Amino acid sequence: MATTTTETKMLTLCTSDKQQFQIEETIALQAVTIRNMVEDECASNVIPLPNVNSKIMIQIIEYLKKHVDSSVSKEDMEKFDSAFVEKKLSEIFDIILAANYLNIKNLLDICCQRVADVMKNKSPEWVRRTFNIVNDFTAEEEAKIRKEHEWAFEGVDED
Amino acid sequence: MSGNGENGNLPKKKKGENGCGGVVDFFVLPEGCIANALSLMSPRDVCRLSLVASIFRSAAESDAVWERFLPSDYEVIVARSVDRSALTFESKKELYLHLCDHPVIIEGGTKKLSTLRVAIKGFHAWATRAAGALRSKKLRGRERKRAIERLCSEWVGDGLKKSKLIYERSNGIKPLEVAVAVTGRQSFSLQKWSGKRCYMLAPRHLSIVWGNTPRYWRWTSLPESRFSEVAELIVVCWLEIRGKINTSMLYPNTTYAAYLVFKLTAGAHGFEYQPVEVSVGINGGGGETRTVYLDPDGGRRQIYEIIPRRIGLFNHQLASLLRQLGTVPRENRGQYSKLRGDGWMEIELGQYVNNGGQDGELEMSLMEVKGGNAKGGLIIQGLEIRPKDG
Repeated sequence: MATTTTETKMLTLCTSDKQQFQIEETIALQAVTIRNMVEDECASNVIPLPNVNSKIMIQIIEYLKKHVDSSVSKEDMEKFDSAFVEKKLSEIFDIILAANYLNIKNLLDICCQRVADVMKNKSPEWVRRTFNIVNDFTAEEEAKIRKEHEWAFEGVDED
Repeated sequence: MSGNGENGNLPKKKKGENGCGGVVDFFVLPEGCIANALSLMSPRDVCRLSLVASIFRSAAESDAVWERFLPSDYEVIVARSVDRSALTFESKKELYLHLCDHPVIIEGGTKKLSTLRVAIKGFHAWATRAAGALRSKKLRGRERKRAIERLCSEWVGDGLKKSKLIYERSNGIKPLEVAVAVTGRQSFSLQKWSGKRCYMLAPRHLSIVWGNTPRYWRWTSLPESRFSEVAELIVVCWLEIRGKINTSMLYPNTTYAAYLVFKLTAGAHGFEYQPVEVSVGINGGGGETRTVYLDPDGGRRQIYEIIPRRIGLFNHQLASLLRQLGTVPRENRGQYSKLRGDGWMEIELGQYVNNGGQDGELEMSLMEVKGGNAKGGLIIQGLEIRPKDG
């Protein structure tokens, strides 16, 4: 993936598992965290990204490469985005974490939208079951919340 | 090009070690990300999912989520509201829920205000002419100033008086329009489950034929109305009520329905068998006219008319009488009014799909001029425009 044209400025990103990725600066700068590092000149040759592993980095670079390309039409970009989030939720969560850390707003939004679409119209019980979330409320607390938001429990999808 | 997620378990994140055997570990996500995902759902989803676990609850209570559900111009709306002091809240969620349950009374729309501005311009032209006349009377100094003040104070009266004066001294702006600009109000609230805005136009914001003739319509106040004035129909034969709202105030890609919010007094008459015509259309066209019954029993009595075996003698005679009068729409029995949660009745005037592209005036109307019988005992709180349920 590393092109060695003399004019394009390259950056080297180093992931948590010590993999190095050489990418064009314009691509990398879409991540606000990287841009800040470069602007503050605290980045020398290699930018360490201890919160991102290489597996996720590959996917993020794929996303950034597409989004830096101004020749891609809006429709195609939307198509790309919706195909991009067709992943397992565990992977989506990892990308959310990385996008949150790297501060890539669009990527964060489309991944959060994917999570939102899964949980929309679902009952709390369904969400707990599906995502293995332990209910840490007492029975009284639960009854209180349910009573407060009675109106919100109508029209829920069947579990 | 994507979706290469065939491998089962991904390398675990550093933090999320609670290996509960599941594929997905929600607790790796910081609260901010959960809040972000919640804000992309509906207010109803957010409130419901706050029951999942405490981390959901604290995300679901955050201002970041509820800020997204408040209309983008909520600060302007709150600033324009009449009772601003009541609108200080500790959280955005609290403000949101308040805006659902307590309609905020706001000034007339900008369109009406610009009408007022034109009217005032007309007034200035008149005042200039009046000043010229004063000059010719050769009044000077304090006397002249007092004469101008006297003329101006005529203009600063209550809404209607003011509008009449403006009308007389401006170039043909209708007094009603000016009255709306001066005294007109509308209310604004949020639809709880969707967060979309609902409006109610005050009766003064509507154009009611004969509305300013005390013999036919009375302006009074009711504690159960959100507006300071309601319009009570004493008696008319020509019933015509129209309202307008700018489509820029509506959400794009949303189906809206308009409702007349009303009550029938104990002495209400003329609506039992007589349907009224309603329509909703944009820029004076495109609206389909339907017939509906304001009297909730009126519609049902019509059903008896349709099912022959159940006709009583009295109803039968009456139905045939009405048929002779040509007032019973036999194939289109229309709809009935419904009781609202707040004790008022409502009748749907029609629907409008706001595609967003069209900027214009949505016009809503309710008429009964065909039957021509005397009608009375109708109290109007306003005309509500809200996203269609479901």
